[in-house]
Amino acid sequence: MSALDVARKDFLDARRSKIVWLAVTIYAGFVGFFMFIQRSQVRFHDTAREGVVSVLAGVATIGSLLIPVVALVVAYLAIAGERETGSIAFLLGLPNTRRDVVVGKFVSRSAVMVLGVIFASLVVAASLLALYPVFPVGTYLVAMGVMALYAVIYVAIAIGISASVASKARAAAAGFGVYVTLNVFTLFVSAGYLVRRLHVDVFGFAEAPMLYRFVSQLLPSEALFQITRTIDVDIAAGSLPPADAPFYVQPEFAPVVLCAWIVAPLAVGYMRFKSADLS
Amino acid sequence: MVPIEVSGLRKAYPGGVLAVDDLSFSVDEGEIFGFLGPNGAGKSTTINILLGYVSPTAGSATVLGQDVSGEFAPTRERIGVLPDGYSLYDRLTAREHLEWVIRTKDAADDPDAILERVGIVDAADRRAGGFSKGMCQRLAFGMALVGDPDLLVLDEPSSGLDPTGVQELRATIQDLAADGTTVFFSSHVLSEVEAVCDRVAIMSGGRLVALDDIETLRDDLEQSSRIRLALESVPESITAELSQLPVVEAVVLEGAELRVDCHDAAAKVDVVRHVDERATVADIVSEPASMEELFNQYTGDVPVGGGSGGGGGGSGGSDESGRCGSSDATDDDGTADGRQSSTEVSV
Repeated sequence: MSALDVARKDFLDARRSKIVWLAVTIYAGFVGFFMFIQRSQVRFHDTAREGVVSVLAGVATIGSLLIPVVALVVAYLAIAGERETGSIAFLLGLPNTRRDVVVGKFVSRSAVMVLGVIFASLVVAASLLALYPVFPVGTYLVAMGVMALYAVIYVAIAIGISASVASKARAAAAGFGVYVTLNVFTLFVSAGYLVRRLHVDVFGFAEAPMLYRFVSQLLPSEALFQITRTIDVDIAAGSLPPADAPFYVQPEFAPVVLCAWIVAPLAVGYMRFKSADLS
Repeated sequence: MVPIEVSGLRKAYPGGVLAVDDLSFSVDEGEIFGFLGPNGAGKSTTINILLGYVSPTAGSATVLGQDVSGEFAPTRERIGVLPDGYSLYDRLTAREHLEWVIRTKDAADDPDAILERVGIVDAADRRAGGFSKGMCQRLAFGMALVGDPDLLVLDEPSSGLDPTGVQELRATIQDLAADGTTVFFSSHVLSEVEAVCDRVAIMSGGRLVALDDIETLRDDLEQSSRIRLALESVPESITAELSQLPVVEAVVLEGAELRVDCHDAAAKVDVVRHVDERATVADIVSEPASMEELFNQYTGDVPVGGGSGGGGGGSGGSDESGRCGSSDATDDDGTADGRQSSTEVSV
């Protein structure tokens, strides 16, 4: 299992990196701060439970913006950095295949991120116990589990980028571009809206709301919200698709989308890394 | 099994750079094979192909019986690699580096024994980020020794080592070869290849320009020799006339001194006789050409000025920079971007 050897060594290396822990700590700090200031919001809800659930959904919203940054920082140099400095010659001078390298790096950096999310989750749990009237265990576990999955997605994207390019600068540029496209740009314009303009105005087709909805929900952050909406009845009102809508716009489909976001970047990165000349 | 067999190898990079052109050679089991050439001759590209880092444009390379374009990774269990222009993992200690290699190779070595062998056992628990170039090179060599490989590929192994380090390296290489390990040893410094290698291949401009055992190259050398004649007056067209002689390889006129390279020692007499008929010879100095000049002759790098004896190649490992490590896989403290990765430096 060479991929595990790669992962084990890389995890040792990454966990000694200050920037990795700085990023993880900043995220946990933000979450803790949010939990602290939101405790006064609970009383505006019908029941305490609804209020707490709503705060947990807010934690997920913060995560949807912060986790990508943390994950990209933690993983964007995993392979491109080794190519630029030349330590890849050791990695691939050993009986490791390039697939072992991609998989191993993905596993170790995911482990770092999942540990980071667990750390943040402990902060949330501690805040719930100390500052909030109820602890909705089920909702808490779903929200934190989804956060971990979301973190792993961005590790996969970062590893895919890192495997595709030969230098640190390009990895950084591509990572920034991906973040802006997937997480900043979509705050202002949804993907579905763009497709609708194209579909109706340019090609002159009839309106297809389910298509637009589907496209919008293909983004990792939207797929994440699909799941958090199912736990938070308040904010879900009106934003969930009708029960007779196609399966691919239902919240149950979101995990499929999220998993595709793990597989696709890794596959693209691996294909490019496999045929790359490393010199 | 032939440890290394290369046939018709060719590598063209985008932009029309032909790094390796129609290269063929094979390395015999148990020999120390020297791979020589100036920087930019295509040595590193060839080694990168042999290790599977770079795929060839045409031709084939087989290492330990396995085509490098196929499922090559398992074969690397029997190969020890000391790359050139590498960096270590700054945040891992010397022992952790070795433990990782031992685990990945499924070897049973003791990390401390290897550190002892390469002379850095005192630094076992220090992180490689603080190592000097020489210590990095020793650790990298130690990593190559893990698992008692059948084939050692050493790319510029003495770079960064002090003279003692170079001697220890040579001794270790000779010990290993005596035990049956095949050693592929690349260098741009002729003297160090000369000291350990059984056979030598010389590359220049992407092509193989010589491939022979070191003894034959030495014989060539003895036969090729140089004579220096101090003249009282220099007749016109003497250099042109001398170049016409079939035994003469090269003629250089510097002031009143004529330097003539001959194919063999006996030809010197012909040269003296020829010159004596046309000018008054004040002094005659006869000297064997150095190995460096032979090398330069093969690589088409004719020494200019500089005079007699060893050319500019220098000997032993020249140091390149103080450090070898560089923050790699995670951008620590933001310093990594500004730092240059250590790649080949030209001489």
